[in-house]
Amino acid sequence: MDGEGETKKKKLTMPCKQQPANLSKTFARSLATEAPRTNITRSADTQTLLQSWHPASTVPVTVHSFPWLEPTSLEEWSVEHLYLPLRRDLLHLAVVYEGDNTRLGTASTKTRWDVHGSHRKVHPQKGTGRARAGSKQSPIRRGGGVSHGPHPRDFGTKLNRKTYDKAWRTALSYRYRRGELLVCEDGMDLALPRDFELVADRHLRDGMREAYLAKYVTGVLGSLGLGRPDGRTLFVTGDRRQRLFEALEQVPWEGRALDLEDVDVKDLLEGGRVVMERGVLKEMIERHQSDLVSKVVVNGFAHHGPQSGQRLLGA
Amino acid sequence: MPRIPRVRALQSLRRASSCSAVPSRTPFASVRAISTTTPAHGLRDKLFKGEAPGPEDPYTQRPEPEDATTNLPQEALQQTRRDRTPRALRETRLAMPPKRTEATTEKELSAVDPNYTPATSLDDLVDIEPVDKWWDQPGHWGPESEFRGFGRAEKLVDREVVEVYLRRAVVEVLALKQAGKLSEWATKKWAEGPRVALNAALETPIVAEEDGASSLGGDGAAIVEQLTREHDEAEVPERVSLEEAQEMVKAWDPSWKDIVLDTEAKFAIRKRLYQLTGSLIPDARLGATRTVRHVLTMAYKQPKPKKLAEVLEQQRGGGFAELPNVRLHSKKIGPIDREIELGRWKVIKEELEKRNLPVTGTADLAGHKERKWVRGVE
Repeated sequence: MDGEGETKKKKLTMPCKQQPANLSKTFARSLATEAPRTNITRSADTQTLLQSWHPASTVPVTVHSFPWLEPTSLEEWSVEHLYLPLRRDLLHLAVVYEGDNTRLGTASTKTRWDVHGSHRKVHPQKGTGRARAGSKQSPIRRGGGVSHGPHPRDFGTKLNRKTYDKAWRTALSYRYRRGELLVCEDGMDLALPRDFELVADRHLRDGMREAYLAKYVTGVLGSLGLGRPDGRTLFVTGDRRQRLFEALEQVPWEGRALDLEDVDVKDLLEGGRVVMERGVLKEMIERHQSDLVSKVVVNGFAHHGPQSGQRLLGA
Repeated sequence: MPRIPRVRALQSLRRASSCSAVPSRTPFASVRAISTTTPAHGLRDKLFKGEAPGPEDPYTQRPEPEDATTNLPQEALQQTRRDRTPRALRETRLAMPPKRTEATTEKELSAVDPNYTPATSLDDLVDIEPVDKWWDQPGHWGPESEFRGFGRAEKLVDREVVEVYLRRAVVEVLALKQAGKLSEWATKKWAEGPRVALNAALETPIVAEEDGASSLGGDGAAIVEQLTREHDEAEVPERVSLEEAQEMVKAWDPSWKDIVLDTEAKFAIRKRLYQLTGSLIPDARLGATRTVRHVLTMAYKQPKPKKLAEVLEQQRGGGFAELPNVRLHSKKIGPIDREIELGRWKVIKEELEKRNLPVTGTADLAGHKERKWVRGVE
């Protein structure tokens, strides 16, 4: 009896996160909160370290200079903002919702009543030897209307705001966990060599300026590990930065740059990495934390969401 | 025109620039047999009270040559054509295309070069790349256009080399802590330093205690001075080779890897490692690290092979080598390779050559005509 009880106790005390090593490999994917696998060295140490780290309230975020990517300061951000567990279902809902609302819905066809022409009976019902026919716009006939064709309509769907916001932060958390989120200082713009700036506007013609920008930005992204061989990179800035945007428009296969207003959950999940300004990240979090914020004031206090962006190191 | 007054100045200018083509003329009032009682004569007296300048009869006489006195300064007389290139083009170090000139037409060219004959085929012509390919041509993309980021461009992937640089970073952080400068310098850029600095840092011992605390065994003042000096970004120091790193790693006592690191130290080490090895440890991973050993695990990252062929090379065939019905080849096997294996290829080749047929391909014969019938000519 005692022996059985002991074994039973041992089974109960086994931690639930432990899985047999072969189990996760045979199943394709799971919704469970797993650490990312694809970009990590296949050693038990990295895996164990990441799985044993459970930050209670904040995670560190390093802010870099652009474009040299020199770490300049360290901040702490809430786990509710950047360390949410992976929820594929939420991401799916958000991506589908965005796709639906992006649809133009402008496909249009003419029904038999829209097709031009008189609705007179084409020839008498009987006596002609031909098949009976009504109007010439019948869908059976050539030149006739379309029976059940598309008409312009709105394909937009609704998604709960809090669900969408949580999905947004889940996408950011996914990138953070995989180490694919780089935060840079505000005022992110491509610093071009002075020799180019001197002659760019007046003396480089016939595509030389664009060719220079393309070659230069390819070199920059290659040396930083943000280019095409490493998966394209998305740059997000507060507003359009002339040099950066123009240079990336020359080489769309290397990466792309977007305004804060133009970014979606889908854009955050595409590509190899996301590089954004610190101000942009702050704004994104503030716009998408409706499930954490309450407007209800209790005893003079309202919950404005968890604190994020406190500086730990650096000026 | 000698009568125009400003031409006198040009004449003196030409003389000053030692032009020998200008003949000096003397007034020849008495040479020609002309009447001096011209209508202008009376007018001269009326116009000029007293002595009139120039020759008596300006219509027939040339003016006297003046002495080479001029009011122009010496620089103006010696000045050649001014350089009219814009300041921006003169200052820039970019290789710019030459100024556009019009090529001489065929008619004019026959006068200049009597041996010229126009080209009859494209091969005779010189290939000139379009202007937007200017930067791809050799010599046009200079060092002023090269980008150097903060971190090393070529990532180091060997574990021992990364360990050597990690030890250097740890020593430097401890030295700064000892000097009380870590808070100030953790977020600033440190000088990379020559090979001597690396050796000095690696020779300094680290004292690791059991509870995870650590301190520098030797004096870190020289190291601190080396890090905080003004540095020139252009210097590229010598790198550690894999063999050297392996030897060094074996010689060290592994207790230094159990040092516990605080946030400031981790930030500084991560930044220094990025600068020296090019591997940027992501924040999510760095947050999970506590000791130097953890940092090393996260920093060392073997690049994933991108093709199955590379994976099989690394694993020496993987599991496929043991399977009896699977063979691995480095290249795609075609029908010719199969014939070679069977030994028929020699014979086939001989027979084709005997009949003057192409061995591979269709040479100048037409291709598969039935395909065109089926698919249509495109």
